[in-house]
Amino acid sequence: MSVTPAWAAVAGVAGAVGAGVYIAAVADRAVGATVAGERGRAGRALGGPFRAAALWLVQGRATTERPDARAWALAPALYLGLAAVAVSVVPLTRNVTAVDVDAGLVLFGAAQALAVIPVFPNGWSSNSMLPLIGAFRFIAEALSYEMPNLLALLSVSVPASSLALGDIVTSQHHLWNVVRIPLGLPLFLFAGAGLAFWGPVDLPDGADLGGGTQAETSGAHLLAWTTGRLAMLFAISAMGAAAFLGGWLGPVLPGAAWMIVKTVALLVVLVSSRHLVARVRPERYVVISWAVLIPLALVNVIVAAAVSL
Amino acid sequence: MVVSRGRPGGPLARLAAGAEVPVFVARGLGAGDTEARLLGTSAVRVVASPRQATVLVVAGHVPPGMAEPLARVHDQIPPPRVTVWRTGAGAGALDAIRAAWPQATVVGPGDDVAATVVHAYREVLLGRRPTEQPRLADVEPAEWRGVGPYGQGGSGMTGGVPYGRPMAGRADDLRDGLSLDVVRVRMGPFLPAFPTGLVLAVTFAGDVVHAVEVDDLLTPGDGGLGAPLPDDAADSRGDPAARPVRIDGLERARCRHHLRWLARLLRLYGLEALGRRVALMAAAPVPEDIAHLRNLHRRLERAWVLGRVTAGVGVVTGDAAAQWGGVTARAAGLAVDARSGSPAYQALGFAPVTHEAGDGRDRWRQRLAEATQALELAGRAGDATVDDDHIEPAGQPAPADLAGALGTALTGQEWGDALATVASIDPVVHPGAGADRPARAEAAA
Repeated sequence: MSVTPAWAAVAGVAGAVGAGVYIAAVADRAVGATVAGERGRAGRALGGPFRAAALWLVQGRATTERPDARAWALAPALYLGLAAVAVSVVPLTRNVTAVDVDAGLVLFGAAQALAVIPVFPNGWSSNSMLPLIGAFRFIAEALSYEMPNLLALLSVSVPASSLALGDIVTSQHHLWNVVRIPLGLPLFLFAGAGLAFWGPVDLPDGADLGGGTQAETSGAHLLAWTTGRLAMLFAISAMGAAAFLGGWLGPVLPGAAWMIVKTVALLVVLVSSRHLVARVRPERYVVISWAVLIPLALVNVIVAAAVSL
Repeated sequence: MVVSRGRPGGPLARLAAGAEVPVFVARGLGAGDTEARLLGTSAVRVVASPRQATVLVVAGHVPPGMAEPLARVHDQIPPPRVTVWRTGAGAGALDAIRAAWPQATVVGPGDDVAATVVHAYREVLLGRRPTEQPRLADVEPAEWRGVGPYGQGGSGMTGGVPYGRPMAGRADDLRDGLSLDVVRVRMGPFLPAFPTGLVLAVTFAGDVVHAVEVDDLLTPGDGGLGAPLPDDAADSRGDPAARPVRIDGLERARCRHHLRWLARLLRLYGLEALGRRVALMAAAPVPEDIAHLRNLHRRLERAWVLGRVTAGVGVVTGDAAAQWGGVTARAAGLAVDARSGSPAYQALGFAPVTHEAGDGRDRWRQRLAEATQALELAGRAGDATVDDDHIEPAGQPAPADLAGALGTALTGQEWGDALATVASIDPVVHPGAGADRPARAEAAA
């Protein structure tokens, strides 16, 4: 376990999250323009995130009737912070990890599971009906995301006999986990999208609630919230790349390049889901999660144990 | 209260001036193709909440009952903000809006609303035009009437009405027997997925709809602003002065109406980009677009999740479907269509399309099939005409008892499903919220 200087770790995580959020925002625009049948919008997609962010910074902050202002202001910062914690444990290469702890997998899982803490006050604090429904939706469903998410993540620790992410990547030297434990990655990505409430599982912030927990948010607050969500998608992609796609392992290119390529590929898949798949129904999702996804995730852990024997 | 950060005209604002323009569309009566035009413009992004918009676009006629909700929506937009009002060319409509909303830009049906929106947005961000001031005073909606340390007032824990709103009450649960607090909330009239002008007073138990009532905000009277736009395909009766009506024009309007409806429905399911694609198709469909429509239909049929989330939601069949009539009845297998009795349509080989299940999925299948059929008919129709009795409106007519019909359809559903049901039926709401269709009465007069 190597020790990284604190400033380097903070700068590294901030840089990675910034780059990841930008790539996610560009991919979202590019895929959206393609699905909408608009050609020649690629150049605008590159500058689009900066212009949208500038508008949010220029906008005044409108407030609601009797909000819980402190909790409201804290929610996006907390969510972004959790995403940064999740990113910090993922190794870029064999020797480069912002926070190299023995139980990186557990810390990542904890950051994911705590997502419910900022999402609820984001909806509740504005003292408004639709955001409140969004907040309660997330409370009702968070466990249905967290269980398959953590079980899928757990499966990769079995063949590695370790909770350290470095060991988990190294254990894929001969065979990536996406092949060895095939159910793991889809389950992890789907449940991860739920924790970032993105695309087909965007239930707390869905269009049926006029934007849900963010329906009353504008300006810099909305910028922070959107950044937090994209950062969480980036954290999930980075972890997916390390835990299931062999992280830095790969021929010819340096390890860091492989890790970046794999992370961006997963990020594009996650971001694109918003434009390709309709939003599911909240009640049905809970049933599907407990009746199908969680049993599948348990089977996946058993499969992982069996192939490790 | 609003805390202003950026300075219009500053470097940040100049960068922001090139952003996609976030627009909230407030659909009045006869909003025409305004929303579809904006959806089909890549420089514009139509947003779901006024909090996320910079430009408010008001379309068509806003009756007096909707004036205050509109002002509220306006004030929810964070500054810098501008309003663009698109109105039909009714007598003095433009001048009346300019007098009542002096800060707004008013455009007529012939103007390019999207270009006006982009221009107004740039002007306000570059500081060449002042941001609009709030329309309502920033006061409590009702005075503090709470009594005691927790403000519940009255007698008992849930007796009072602090700030004019009742505390949550109790009611038997419809779902699983767990009795929850009930809260009464008004939804509409500018909720993006809602039919134009619909306001529902919904009683929620948790997120389950316990009861719905229809509020009528549409009664005409003094203080109404703007005029309906001419291209309101929902009625698709064409010019009342020109009778009989040409079939090709009618059917193209039907296709436009169904595609606009589909664009809105797809956005409700989070498929914004696909909604934009459909809105582009809805702009001016010509018979040559039939292949594109068939492609779209195949694509949506292949979208497994969309099929799963719309199947079985908002089932309206049998007598209830007959009460609704129109598209909703045909989606439930009832071949009721005024065109069936028309010799002109019979000569074109018309037979009503129907589906069976009467659920959300069959309603989008039905509308898409009717849109395709409409283009086929328009292509074959030549200069054939139809008399007034055999015009089938493209929009879903509201039944006489709209509140009862919606109550049956929505009660007991989770809010997301209830909204999906309202959006997929999409009744054309008229003043009196259920009185017979005035368009028919006018045409007869």
